[in-house]
Amino acid sequence: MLKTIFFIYSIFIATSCFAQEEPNYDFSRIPAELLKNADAVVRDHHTEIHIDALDDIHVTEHYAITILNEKGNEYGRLEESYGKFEKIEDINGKLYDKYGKEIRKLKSKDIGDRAVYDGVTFFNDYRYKYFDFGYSQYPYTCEYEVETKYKMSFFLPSWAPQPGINCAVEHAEINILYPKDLSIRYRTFHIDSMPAEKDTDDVKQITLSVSNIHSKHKKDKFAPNEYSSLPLLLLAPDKFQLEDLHGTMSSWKDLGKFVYDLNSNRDELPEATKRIVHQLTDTCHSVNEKIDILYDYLKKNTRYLAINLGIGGWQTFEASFVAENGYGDCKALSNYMKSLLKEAGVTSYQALINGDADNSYTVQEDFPLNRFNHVILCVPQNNDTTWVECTTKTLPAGYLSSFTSNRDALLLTPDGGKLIRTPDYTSKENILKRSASIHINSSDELNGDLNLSYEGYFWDAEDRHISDNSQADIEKHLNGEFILPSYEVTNYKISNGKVGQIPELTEKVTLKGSPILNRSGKRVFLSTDIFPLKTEEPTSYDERKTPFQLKKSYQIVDTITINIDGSYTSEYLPEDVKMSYPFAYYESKIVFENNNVIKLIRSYNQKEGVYPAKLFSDYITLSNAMNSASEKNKVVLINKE
Amino acid sequence: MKPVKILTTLFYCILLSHDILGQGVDKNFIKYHLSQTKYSIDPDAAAVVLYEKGTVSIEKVNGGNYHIVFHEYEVIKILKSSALDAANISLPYYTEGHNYIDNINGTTYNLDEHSNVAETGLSKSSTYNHRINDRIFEEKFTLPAVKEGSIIEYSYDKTSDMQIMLPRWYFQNDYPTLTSKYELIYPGVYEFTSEIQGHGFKEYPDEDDAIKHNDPAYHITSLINMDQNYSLWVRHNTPAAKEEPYISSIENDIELIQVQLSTINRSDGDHEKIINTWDKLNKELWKNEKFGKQVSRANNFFEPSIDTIATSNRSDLDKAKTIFSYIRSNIECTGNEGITAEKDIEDVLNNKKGSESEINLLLTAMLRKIGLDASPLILSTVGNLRAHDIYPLVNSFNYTACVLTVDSQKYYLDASNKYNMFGILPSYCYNGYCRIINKEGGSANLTSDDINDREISLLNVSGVLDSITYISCTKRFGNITSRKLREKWTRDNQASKNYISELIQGMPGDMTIIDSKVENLNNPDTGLVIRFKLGLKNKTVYSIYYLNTEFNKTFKENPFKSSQRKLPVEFPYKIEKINLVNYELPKNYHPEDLPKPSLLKYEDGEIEYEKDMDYDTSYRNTLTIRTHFQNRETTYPVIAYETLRTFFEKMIQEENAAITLKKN
Repeated sequence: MLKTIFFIYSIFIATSCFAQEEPNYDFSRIPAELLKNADAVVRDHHTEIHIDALDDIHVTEHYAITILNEKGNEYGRLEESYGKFEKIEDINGKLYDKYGKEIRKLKSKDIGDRAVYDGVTFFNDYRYKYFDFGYSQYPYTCEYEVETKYKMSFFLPSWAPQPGINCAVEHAEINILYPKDLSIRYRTFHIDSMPAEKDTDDVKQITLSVSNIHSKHKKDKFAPNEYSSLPLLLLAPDKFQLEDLHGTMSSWKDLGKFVYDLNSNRDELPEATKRIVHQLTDTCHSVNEKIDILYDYLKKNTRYLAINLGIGGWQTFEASFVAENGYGDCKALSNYMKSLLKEAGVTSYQALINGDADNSYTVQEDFPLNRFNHVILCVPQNNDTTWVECTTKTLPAGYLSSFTSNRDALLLTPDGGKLIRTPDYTSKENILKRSASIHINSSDELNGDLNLSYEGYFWDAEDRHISDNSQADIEKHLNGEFILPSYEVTNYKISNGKVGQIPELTEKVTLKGSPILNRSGKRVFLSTDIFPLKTEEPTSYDERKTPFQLKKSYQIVDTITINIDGSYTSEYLPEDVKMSYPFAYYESKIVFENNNVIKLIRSYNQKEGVYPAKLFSDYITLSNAMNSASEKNKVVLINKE
Repeated sequence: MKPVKILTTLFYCILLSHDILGQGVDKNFIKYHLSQTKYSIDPDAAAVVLYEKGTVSIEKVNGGNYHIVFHEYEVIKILKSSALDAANISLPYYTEGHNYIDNINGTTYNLDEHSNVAETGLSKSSTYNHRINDRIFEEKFTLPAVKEGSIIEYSYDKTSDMQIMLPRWYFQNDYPTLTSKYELIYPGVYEFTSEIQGHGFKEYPDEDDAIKHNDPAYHITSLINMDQNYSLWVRHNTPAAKEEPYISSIENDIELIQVQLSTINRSDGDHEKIINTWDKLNKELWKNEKFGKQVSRANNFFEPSIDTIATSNRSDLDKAKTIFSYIRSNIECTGNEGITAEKDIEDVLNNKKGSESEINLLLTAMLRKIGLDASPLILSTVGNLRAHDIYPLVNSFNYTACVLTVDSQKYYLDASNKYNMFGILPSYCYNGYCRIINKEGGSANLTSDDINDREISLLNVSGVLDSITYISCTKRFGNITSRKLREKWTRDNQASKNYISELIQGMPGDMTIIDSKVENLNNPDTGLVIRFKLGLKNKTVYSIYYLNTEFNKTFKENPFKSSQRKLPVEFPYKIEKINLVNYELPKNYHPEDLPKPSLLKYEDGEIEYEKDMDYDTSYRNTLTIRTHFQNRETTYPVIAYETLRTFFEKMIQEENAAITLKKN
């Protein structure tokens, strides 16, 4: 091994000859086309990853970035995190002015060091070092060199040469060196060139470079799900080491086996808890009944709290710890639930997944790698599979919200890992139904009875405002939900139910207030719409060149009936709208009946999918039609009396 | 060391009668509350603080110095799962001096299946400590076995060096509080002054007497022995502190006490007054190397750069503007680091970098250097506890600006942000009582009533029946909005277009932005102006046409939605909006049933809305609609809320009034 290290080192000297050259960061040398829409430009970025052993990996990043304006400042700041398994060995930095003249050097005493607050964990042992030249005469250039040592290979660093959408890149390259007896896989995203591989007697080498990447003005919310729209190189070792544990991830099976073993034999429950499990479930008639009862027990007796220290980021607390202390993170709570089920004679498996309501991460089936951030529980049954999210207080057993549905999860079994798909919820499950019966009296006072029902993903969003919230907060929420200039909810009733395994929340709301109504002589101008209905705003109205993705399937059905005192004729009613596209259907209709009744009936049905670029103009048309609907749905009546 | 250990018999007598266990609550108390599921103080509460006490003891340590031990004790009932986080405790503390946290104790109480009280103690291994940064450590712990219905009890000691300000105590919390006590045990060598916000405390000779009178807020003082004084504030039944829209900051309304050292009685009979008058505070600060000295000393290093300004023939005000403008655009601000200059202003000027206060002290010094009457102004920003004229407490202030007097006119200056206007501080500086620090000292009262934001919009609408209606608009923003938008628009060159898009979003018809232009973007001393032209596609030509009056709107919706209000309404500044829309009508059309002019007044005209119309056929066929909204006062008591809400409702109705055009 010593020989290998020496050999790698000598290659490093040879390949990093850029360091010998006098850098020229003169702003005027940046090609004009790279300045377009950019707030910063990466001038040169060299990454060296030297894997000497599975617990000894050296990473050197050397980069220079020119900051063009205040908005680009964030790219001039240095932030490097570290923890038990990564150590920052050295940081150097220099600041250059517009002409590339060196102004000052980073002094190590000016490097700050802070604990990481990720907003999720209660306590962790991650920290970061940070530094900022605090310069503001634009443009200026920051050059940094950071050396980090990794003492594990469970995760290898990924390479993202373009640090942000508003950042252009002149040149960036990466060089990975590793002993020949290891195998390192890679996968690129949004990079045109393929990495070059080279073998010598003892060492293998992978190199990749990118040049002239332009910045874009805005993040494309409609970009299909291939990680992000930024260039990315992912690395995965076939063999890896975490502390003194060795494993392989050349297949999902192996990766799953490692995580399973790491978390096995931590399911022993205290006797008292075992007794409770039997008291609760011994008389149950079905597995589902046992799941429901134990899930309810879990929700009542535990809470989510993450404490990640060292290997604790991947290894669960013992089930007995959760039983005694009543808290744990997703690993610990799902392990605890698994232990409760096991005591009740039900087999279940933990599954690694990426929790994200936008579902913006797609597992690459042929590229096994641990990029998961969450654990849920799966109870396989003969005809059906029940999924359980163990970190919430409100989700019913068997329903995964938009946070984990419709994606691949890695099931952890004694035989190893297996990719399986979580349930997909379509517009048959994600339904919002709203109806309103409204009366407007001769003093233009409005009274309304509303019925709203939220199913599937709509339940996810609405439940956040309702479950466990105070009455005052619920009233505040309901008092801001409807499009009326002024109103007050005078009464409401909320009930929770299920349609199959899908949760359903219904709200019966009584309100009084004033309508969007104006009288001018004999004329009455009245807005018929009280329910917000909007699509995702297009980020750009320019002609689209790449496919776009709609991420969720759902349907909304609205019926509004307005009864207005008096007798009228209609002078103006908006035209009926019917718009049908492969990705959505929208229909809206306003009718006037019996001299004083106005009815608005409309529905919207969206189908998730990736659609060709040429259809995006239809999406804009639809979006425009819907997003101005509340103004368009105005009627003009003439008083007959 | 726990304070209870140093107390004499008298103290025990006072406390033991009511603090059942001396330090806290007893088993019967716990058992009773474990069976409770609702509290009349707030039947909807997610948790209730059953009992809490903060004890500050000033103790002598080796070497004759004193230190502060702050003992906090909390007993909280968890009623809903949304309050489970109350069991997660984070205690940050400074690493400097002899500061540390110890004696952490915690217990969770639950009822077991036989309705017996089950106790689960906090284990040592469940407390965590880490360094947040160079100056701050954090002690963290979470209580075990916490669920809905649990009662959590915890306490800790926080020891620190003797300092002027004692730990602040809030009698009001995120949850309703049944009993909150703050007690102070201190040697005769010290005297203190206290600032109380919220409900007043009635004085009683002893606690028994106070309890007899059933007083919800009382204060007792006594002598424990010849060298130990005791002071106790007790508050019962405070509702949860809750934010509402249109308040300047919850910190200005929450019930609390802040105690500050006022006098040290030396053994030789000398009484050393620690800042306890404004005059003394002023003198101390004026002499302070990090404050007054920075601006009062010779500061000769300015000379080469300032000579040209000083000797120019321009007016004093122009000279001041030149210096202000130079600092504003050349010195980068590193944020707020308190009222003093931690770095010398000479370094600030050389490195072109400093905190808000450092930059403004530099500004003050430069203005003084050319002979102008400028002084530092210390103030408390919105979000910080409001300073009060009867409490000369230096820690009430967190920000230094500058006050300049030219021809007896006062100008308030803040050069720490390049978008700040000459003569106007950022709106968060208008938070009440401020002090002017100079040889004589003085005060000022800056409130939201002192600043106004006057916005004028002029619109011309032409071709209303053509295939495209053109709308030209010029908007001149008020000073405060200009500052806000200028910062946003400078950072993002698309932001002004987004502003127009947001403005027209939801308006009827297919509207496109034809042209737009921003003026005065780079001149922060002027009102920002945006000019834009819109095209509105008309589908068909109607015999009757409903005129688009969306552009007349001052408010799109009522800002006061909630029917109930607990706190006074505070607008951040005075708002004035003038809207003038000119419609060029087609020759053969006229407006039908033109709405009457209206004037809405809140009470005596503190808020006013006026709308009038002018239909003119003498030259061209034009209809002009003018609206004018103005609030002359910014603060309204809770009792006025309903009237205020109704005013806005009526105004919105007026704004929605539609206009019909009919063929002649």
